[in-house]
Amino acid sequence: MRPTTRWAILFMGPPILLFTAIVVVPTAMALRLSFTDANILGQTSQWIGFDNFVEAFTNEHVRKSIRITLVWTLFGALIPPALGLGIAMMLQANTRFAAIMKSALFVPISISLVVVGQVWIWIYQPGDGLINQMLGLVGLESLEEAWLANRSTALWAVFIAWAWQQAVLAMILYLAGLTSIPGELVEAARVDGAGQFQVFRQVIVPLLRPITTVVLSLIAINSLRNFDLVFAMTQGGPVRETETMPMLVWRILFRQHEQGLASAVSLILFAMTLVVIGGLTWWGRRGSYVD
Amino acid sequence: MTRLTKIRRSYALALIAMVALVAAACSGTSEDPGAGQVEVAHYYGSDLGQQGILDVNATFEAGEAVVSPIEHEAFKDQILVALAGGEPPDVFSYWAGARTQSVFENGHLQPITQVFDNADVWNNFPQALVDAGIHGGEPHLLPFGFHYVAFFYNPHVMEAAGVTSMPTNSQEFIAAAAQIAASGVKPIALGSMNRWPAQFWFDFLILRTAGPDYRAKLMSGEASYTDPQVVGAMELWKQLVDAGFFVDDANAYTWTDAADQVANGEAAMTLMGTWITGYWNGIGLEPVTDYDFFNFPVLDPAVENAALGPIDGWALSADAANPEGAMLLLEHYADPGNQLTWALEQGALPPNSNADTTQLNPVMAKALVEVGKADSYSFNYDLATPPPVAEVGLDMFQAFMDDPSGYADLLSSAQSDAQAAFAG
Repeated sequence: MRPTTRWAILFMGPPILLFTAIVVVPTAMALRLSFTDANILGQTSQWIGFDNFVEAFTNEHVRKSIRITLVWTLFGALIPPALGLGIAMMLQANTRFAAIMKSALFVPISISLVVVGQVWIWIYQPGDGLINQMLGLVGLESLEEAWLANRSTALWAVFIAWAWQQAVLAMILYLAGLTSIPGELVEAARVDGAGQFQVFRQVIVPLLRPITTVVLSLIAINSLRNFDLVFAMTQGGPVRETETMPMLVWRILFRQHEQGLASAVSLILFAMTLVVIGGLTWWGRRGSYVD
Repeated sequence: MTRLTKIRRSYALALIAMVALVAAACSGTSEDPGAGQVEVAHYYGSDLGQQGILDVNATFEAGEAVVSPIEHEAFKDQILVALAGGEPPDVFSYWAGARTQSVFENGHLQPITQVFDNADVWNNFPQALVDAGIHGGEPHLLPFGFHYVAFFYNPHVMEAAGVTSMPTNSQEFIAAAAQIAASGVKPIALGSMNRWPAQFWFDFLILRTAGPDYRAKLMSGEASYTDPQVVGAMELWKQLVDAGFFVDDANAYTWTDAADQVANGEAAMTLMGTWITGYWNGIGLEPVTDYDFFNFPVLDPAVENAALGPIDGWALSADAANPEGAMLLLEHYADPGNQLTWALEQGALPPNSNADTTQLNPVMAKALVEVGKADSYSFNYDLATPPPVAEVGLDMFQAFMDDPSGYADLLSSAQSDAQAAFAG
């Protein structure tokens, strides 16, 4: 064996073993469980073929949860990146104010989602919550609402809390991306007569495409695996209106004890994640200036 | 020394360090107290009697109880993971009824006959509570505390509204609620954000109109959620909501929020278990002066008087590492003095009849009397029906509080979901 091969095995072996142990094996086990009627408390299980997948696609709660997750991911891919890019553009100037604002805006990303949830629960609280108090102050009492208990507002209320944090993640990445854009390109565009918007649209946005791919991928992954914040704020309620797929898996497993069905829903979520990330990677490479 | 030799030497040193670490870890394990140490997991948080458990464990001299308190809601998941993973605590708190039955049926408990014999649970505990611990013909759960669900109210609010005697039937209840509402206070607080607090309404409306036998059939799947008995109960509930007796946005609040609303006079009463007294005592409220209770009113005089509430107990894991020590600890938990210590702290009633109940505060003493007067004792909904079915009902109660007008659709969808859940 060549020395380089030996070194490759030495360095690659442990991570491959680790990856196999914590990703491949559990995924294979989930796949096996998804074809059984396993119960979390049960000691035995029966092979039931595709019954769990049939149940998943015909059950109205699973379908609703898939819908909620897709809507969340779609808006997650639009709102936080747009906000993040907007804030990054405003803060890219090398001023004292921008530096202070950047430090302040980094705070949300350093807080755990459970804490974020607790803060936003207070903001949305009926009666003495921040939003309702502000509405009361400006004479809009009629708009006061139990934001997290109302079935038509709960999902968006939780989404806004999540988007608030994700926008900061996008901002950080875009700030890094903006600093890597050569100033000469922007200058050249301006010399050629491009206005502010044209520079943004024709120069900055295309050059940020690799960063945008990273931002969208991270935010899509965070959307699809969103559990902590929903659990902290609503536990999927009211009446399952905020039940994202990870929440649904938790519920099927720990409340209904159906490990087989929970595994099947997890695999559907896994497949959705692969499709979304695959699509974003293809999109990123398709028009990348780096390529 | 070549570069490769240096690298090899570094690897050798790292390997030695790892072996040393593993050896140290193993030697640490062998120094553990062993048979005297009992691992205990429970769901009593700081507002539900955590200190009481510490006090009781402090007097366990036969060994050492190593306790892991887990937040009440999180416990429901964590214990399942521990049991399924084959590494459960020796002893864990659990809810009597369908939940214990579910764990028992899957072989995760071992009998505690020795505890029942040595502590003479058979004779020292009321028969209904002894029966609650029996699964498969053998004792599997030691009752540690039980509760009584009733209307807990703020006497100051009642007095201000001119309600001088507490209602005993539906007409009196509606009249009192209307009087309270006229005084500008919401008569009923309910915090159904976590769903379960709403179940007591469903429980009592069924128990008081259709009786415990019918309810038992509903809980076991022999009766249907679309039966006239259930429809009638939901209609009564809807009338109370439509009358504006409940706080707005009940689904926005937790049970402690509802308790706070009653305590600070925003609402007059809440239908809750006796554990609310522990919470109120903890925030400085005085029994009788600041809070009291009355029974759920009689809705049909022909229907027997059923008491309602959960029983908290202790179970012994089938995979317990220290079953002998665990049995001794359970005997310690069966002691009347220890049961009282915890009951006083938590706001529970001690199952051991030899506990000195003169130490209970007047409200809890009254609850004990009411349990004694009841014709039967029923578990609340989520402990009376299997866990997957309970999920269906709990969802329905929350949906009902969101929009009571659609209860007929809710019941028919609950019936089909419950049927599927019973079928497994």
